Amino acid sequence: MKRINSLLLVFLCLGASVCMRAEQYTIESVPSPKERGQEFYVSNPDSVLASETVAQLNQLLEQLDRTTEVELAVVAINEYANTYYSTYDFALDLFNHWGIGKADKNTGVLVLLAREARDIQIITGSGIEGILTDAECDRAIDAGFESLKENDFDRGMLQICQHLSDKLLSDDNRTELMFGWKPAEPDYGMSWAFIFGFLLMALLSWLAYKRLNGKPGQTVEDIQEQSKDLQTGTGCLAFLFPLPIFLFYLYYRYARKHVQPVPLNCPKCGQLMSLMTPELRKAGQLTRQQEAEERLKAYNFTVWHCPTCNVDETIKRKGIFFSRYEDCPECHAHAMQVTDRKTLLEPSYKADGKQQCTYTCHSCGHTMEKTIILDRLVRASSSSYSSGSGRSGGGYHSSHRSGSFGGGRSSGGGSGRHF
Amino acid sequence: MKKNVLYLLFVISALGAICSWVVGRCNGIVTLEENVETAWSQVETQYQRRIDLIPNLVATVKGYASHEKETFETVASARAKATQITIDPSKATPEQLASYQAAQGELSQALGRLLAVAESYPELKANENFLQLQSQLEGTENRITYARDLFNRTAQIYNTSIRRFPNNIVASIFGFERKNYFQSEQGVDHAPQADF
Repeated sequence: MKRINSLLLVFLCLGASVCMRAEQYTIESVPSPKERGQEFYVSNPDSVLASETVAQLNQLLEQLDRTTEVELAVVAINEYANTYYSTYDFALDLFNHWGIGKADKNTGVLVLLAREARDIQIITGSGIEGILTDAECDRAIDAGFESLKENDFDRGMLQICQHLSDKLLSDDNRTELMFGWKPAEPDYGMSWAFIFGFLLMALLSWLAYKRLNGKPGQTVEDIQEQSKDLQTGTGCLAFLFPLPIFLFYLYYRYARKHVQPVPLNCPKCGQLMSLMTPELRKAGQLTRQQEAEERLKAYNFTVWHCPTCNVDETIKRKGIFFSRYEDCPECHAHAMQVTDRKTLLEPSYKADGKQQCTYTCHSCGHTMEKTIILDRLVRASSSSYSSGSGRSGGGYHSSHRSGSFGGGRSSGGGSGRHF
Repeated sequence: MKKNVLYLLFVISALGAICSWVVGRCNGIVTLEENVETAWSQVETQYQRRIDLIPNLVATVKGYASHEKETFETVASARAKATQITIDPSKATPEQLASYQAAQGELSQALGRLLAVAESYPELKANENFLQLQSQLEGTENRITYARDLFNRTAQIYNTSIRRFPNNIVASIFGFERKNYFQSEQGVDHAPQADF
């Protein structure tokens, strides 16, 4: 009794070890040959085939793939999970799971060997069935059948694959496989290019329309000034669609040259007012401050005059040198400028410097003095050095602290004002 | 005045963009329609291939079973009928397509009977030429199935495309019509079984 028990134990252990060693494959657990690389076609996880055979098959099948675009996959396993009804079911599921064959032509073949079940199964893709008929596949199996029967799996698989490959490589079949028709994809590229081109033209002409359409009170110069950017922009865009954009550019330039001023309506009588150019202006139409500002080009003034009602409308616009000046505290003209600088204390790497600036108003002649702090020198790139020395811009303490300066500052309220 | 020219240019460009879009869509649909017609010609090619195979097959069978006259006649008449009917899928009504299918289905059945006859002649079954022809016939049947499947797929892509927004607007303006599918019919898709 005891002996039988121990014998049973031995058998159980043996059985368990066999189970551990040989996996029962599902379609998910069979390793795909493509995981190793595009040039592999054979999955041989249980070493059913010798490694030389695998190499030989890979070579043969790669050649086949290159000349006919047929993907022939070979799978040699010990056994598949018993949830599959038959080898055919397993092989078909595996074929579709892996998606063997080119997607648009469905030219794939799977040759599956299950050693335990002693089954060989060929599955053909739907696009290849015309060449590899069931009868033809049967003949391929015939070619290797004897070898498989004698447990010479290497020779058997080679014979089968060789037979299939020969069949596919025959001239007629190769032509059919390589030059098979496939549906064409509609190409919208050209139409998108046209759509884009037209939309660009629409955008440009709309912007041009807006730019050249002056608001009431705008002079020729005003309109030309506001429409300048689009001319440059169009010139830059010309590389996209050279001819139409260039023609557009020419027209735009022409139209810009011939713009008309848009007169204001008189607030009293409603009639169109006339433009007073600087030459036509009468004394008193601009204040002294305004005249100074216009002279300095800090502001531009457009004066519209109604002769019947003797009413003036003045439009003020920032001039090109606006930022060069500051407001005068006396006459409030935007015409005050630094006219003299005196360095009281040179900035060093340890401490800030001090500079006395003299401001003069170009309108009323009022002068004032201001002491400003020069940021201490920083050992860094040359650009920050020159800026830090305060030679060019001066500037106030608080407004001058920009992100590019890394060093912390010790003295807090160093800036004072002296008049 | 010059501003008005620019406004006009804006309107023309906007219209141009819309037109190019419509033209692009239209051309896209035409490509898909061409696909359907090419797929149809593939189907016809494969049916023709089968028709071309028949004389050889009949001759081979006749050599061993000359007295099965009735079967030969059925095959011959079915073949003649199938040869006569040709249709243009772009204009075919569902009825025309059905009659085309019926004729081809009849031929399939007649061929099935012919192969069944061969079963009872062991010498014929062993004949290398017969085996070859049988395999070719099977291959052709498979090709027909694939070609019909491809036709249905391309027709489906086309039909979906013309029914989807915004293509449906373009399709209705330019009169693109729905294509009929190959219906799976009893007997039609029954390939003769090659039994080894």
